[in-house]
Amino acid sequence: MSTPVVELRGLVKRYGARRALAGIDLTLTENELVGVVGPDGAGKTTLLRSLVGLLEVTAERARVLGYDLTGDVTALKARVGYVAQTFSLHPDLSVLENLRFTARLHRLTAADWEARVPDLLARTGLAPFGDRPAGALSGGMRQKLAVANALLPVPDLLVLDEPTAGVDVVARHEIWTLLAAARARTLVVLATSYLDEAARCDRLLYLDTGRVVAFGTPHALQAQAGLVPYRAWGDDGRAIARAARALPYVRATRATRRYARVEVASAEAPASGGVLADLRALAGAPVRFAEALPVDMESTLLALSSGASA
Amino acid sequence: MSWRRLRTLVQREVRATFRDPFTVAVLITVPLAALLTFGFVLSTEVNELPLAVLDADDTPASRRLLADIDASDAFRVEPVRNRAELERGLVRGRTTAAVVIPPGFGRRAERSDGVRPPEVQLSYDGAEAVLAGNAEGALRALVGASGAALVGAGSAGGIALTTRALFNPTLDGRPFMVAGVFGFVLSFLTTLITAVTIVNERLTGTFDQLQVTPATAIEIVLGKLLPLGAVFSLDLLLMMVLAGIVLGVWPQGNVVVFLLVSMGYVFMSLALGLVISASSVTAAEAVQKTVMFSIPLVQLSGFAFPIRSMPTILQWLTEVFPATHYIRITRAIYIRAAALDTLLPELLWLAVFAALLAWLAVRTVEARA
Amino acid sequence: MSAPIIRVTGLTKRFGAFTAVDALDLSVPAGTIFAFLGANGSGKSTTIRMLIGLLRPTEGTIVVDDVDVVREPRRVRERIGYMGQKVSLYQGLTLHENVEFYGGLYGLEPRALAGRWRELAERFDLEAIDAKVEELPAAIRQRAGLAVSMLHRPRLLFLDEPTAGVDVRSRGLFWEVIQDEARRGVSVFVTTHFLEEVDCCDRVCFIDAGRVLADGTPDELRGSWEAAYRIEIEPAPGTQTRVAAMLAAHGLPVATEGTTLEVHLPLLEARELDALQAVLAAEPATRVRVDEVEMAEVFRRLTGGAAA
Repeated sequence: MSTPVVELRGLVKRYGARRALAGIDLTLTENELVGVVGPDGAGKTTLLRSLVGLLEVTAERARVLGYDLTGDVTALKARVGYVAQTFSLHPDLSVLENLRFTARLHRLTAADWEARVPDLLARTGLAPFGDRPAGALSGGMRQKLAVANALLPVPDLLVLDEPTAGVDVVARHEIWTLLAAARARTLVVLATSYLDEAARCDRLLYLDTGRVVAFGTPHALQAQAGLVPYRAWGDDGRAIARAARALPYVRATRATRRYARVEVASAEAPASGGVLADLRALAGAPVRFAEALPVDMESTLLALSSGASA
Repeated sequence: MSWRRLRTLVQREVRATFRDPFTVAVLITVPLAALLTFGFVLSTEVNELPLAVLDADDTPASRRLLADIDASDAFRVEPVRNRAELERGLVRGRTTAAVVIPPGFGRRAERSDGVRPPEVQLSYDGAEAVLAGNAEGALRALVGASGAALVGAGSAGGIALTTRALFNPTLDGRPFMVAGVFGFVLSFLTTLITAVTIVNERLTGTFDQLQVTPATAIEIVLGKLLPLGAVFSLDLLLMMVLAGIVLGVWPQGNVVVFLLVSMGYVFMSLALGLVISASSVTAAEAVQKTVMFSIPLVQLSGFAFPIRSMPTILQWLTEVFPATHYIRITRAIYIRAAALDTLLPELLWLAVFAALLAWLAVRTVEARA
Repeated sequence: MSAPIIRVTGLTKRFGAFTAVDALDLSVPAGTIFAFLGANGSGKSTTIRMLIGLLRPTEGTIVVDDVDVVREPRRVRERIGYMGQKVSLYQGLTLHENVEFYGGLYGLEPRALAGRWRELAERFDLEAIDAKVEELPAAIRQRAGLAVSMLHRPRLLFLDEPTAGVDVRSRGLFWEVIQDEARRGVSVFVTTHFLEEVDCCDRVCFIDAGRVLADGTPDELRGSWEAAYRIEIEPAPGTQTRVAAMLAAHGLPVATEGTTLEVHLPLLEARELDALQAVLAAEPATRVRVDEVEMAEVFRRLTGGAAA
């Protein structure tokens, strides 16, 4: 697909005097899984809602699926799916009734229904609960229903705002599987605060105070991170962490009982051997074994959030 | 009980409350405004009341009497040429009272023997019972004063005043009130419920979810209004039947017209609720706004207090409320059995309001945050 | 370990026919960080509300810091600091006004309050800030919320998802502070959705459908798997046999995968760590990597296939 699915240049959204989005530039041309990360108040929800035409925005250029976001977005709505952070389907309608409501709004045929619904129900494990009111489902089930509901009309763009927040571990995994499979036919854009989900996106968009701070594959972002994690094992992880903070090139620490994970600014630190030696030599906190860890999402996001919120 | 804690709590409440301009406005200006408004409105005095007058006698005496009446503050004389015109005026509701000076008034005034005193006939719209009663009292006083001068000192009697209530002959206040209640309930409750329901939907996110589907704004508006409208229309029917069975008040005029107009009014009020919901962030705010809107509505729509007794400025203001016109129509049908053609001005007003509110409602739903 | 600061037995809460919490037993040792986990709708929030006296249990006993919460719910409020999910700072007031407000509620004298706040503001990096609450960025609001909950020096802190919606750096800072408090003897009862944070705690209790699924230290929870720790050792060419022998000599079960050696352990204790260090010291060109199974994976297996 050569025409961009999403094309944003200088996208701005104001609420009164405040700029929730202060000039977003983003171009997405193919079906993939894009993660949007960043602290609360960064503008993630605002950006996601703008993409599906829910908000009035100004921009140099703002096109989604070829439609201008600043103009008439009615036709756009038929081709997007949206899952909000809080459950916004009808709690008093059953699972099947909710799906039927969506099918009718999108004017799906009976053939469409037969082809898609049983599969969606099977993959979400909702098949045995077809007649249960949505409000009576557990949190994880509800979110799975919301995702299935959004996928039913096979949208060209699917936008999800922290769909797995607060959902139990098993359901989170199932939702992720659904989304990963959806990316064959849909551009999936989702906001998440879970590190493991961010790591599994095709590309990540890091937002802070309404601007794009970084955009690229997790791998690329990790390479540019500037922070390298080390781990120092001992008997008192917390004491090790405290001692490690005294080292000039240590930016952050996280301690468990057993170890301290130490984030080292690669620009200022000696070579890996030197860091390990320093760690083993920490005073007041015996380190039995120290190792260098591969750069991961935790270090990457830490680096980004420190840099942005300096 | 800790005084320190109490003081802390009070301090916070004061700070938080007075930082919110909306709350300050409501707390201070609304009571003051209410006092002033009600002070002017709460009056059943007779003041520049349009009085239709038919001078069938046309003698110096009758003309003198009319001049006296006209000179007073209580009435504004509107001469009519014949009885038909007089009754039409009353049925239309343009005049609340009418005076007929029958032929022979002048002659009797001269001769004045106390046995056959000069007569003046007063007809009034019994629907507005309170006002009518006060009008009668005012007229009696005037006629009495005038009569004393006209008839001559020392003679017994004076001018005899016969009165007749054209509608609602028993001067029962109930039809008046019942007809008004339709207006009140269908204005206040409908608007309130719609406003609250929709605000809650915005809060839970279901409204947003609808916005992301192919459903158009018109479809969404109708989808909301039709079911609620149906329920309230049923309410309407029940209220009408109950008023008839229990209170003995049935519409004297065309029931079908009444129901149709009322249903239209219901939809208008629902649309208004939708518009109010757009400007409210919480359900509580929606309730506050609806109530603030409805209290003046009750006072100024003629539901409880006669519009004709209000200062002229307020009388003009009341014309802006759809409720005023609806209540006029309801009363006209219920009490005066008014026909469709007499109601046209009111209906036209309502149609204009309805179109305006419908347009606003659709715009509200279409509007993006 | 001293007496438990929270002791719960047979705690049950029923809403009509629905049982939200089912005969829960909990024991939180004093001076520890206790993680309480569960998905939305698992009964977690209901349990917490009962623990702090906001909700009356259907059955069971709750003793918090020697106070019988069921009989005297108000008394417990003076002993604990609470930071709820919606940060409990009042909008429309500045941060300072909030501090005055809470200080007043807890009966702190103005001078003592000022001193205590100075101390906390320094620790939480809040000193220069005095904007209205709604103008503060989320991370600062979160830290301020925690600081305010500690004004009256409670011995027990209840923190309900304190790291939700906050960036990674602030999350880290938060846990530093919490661990610091624990070192000073404060007990912390915390809930979170980020399973990796469980490792920062001393004990963890996982609740699902109103019942306890797991209760122990993070190590104990991991320890139920043979391969909780997977250590990959890549010896320099030619040193494989020597390295393998050294590891075996230290008692580590070694498996060979081509040119790499693998050790699978349920627990990583001092002995194993020393062994790895010894190997590195003797053969510096060896590459060692420890892979600890993620808490998310542990819990997934625990709850695997849970009902709707």
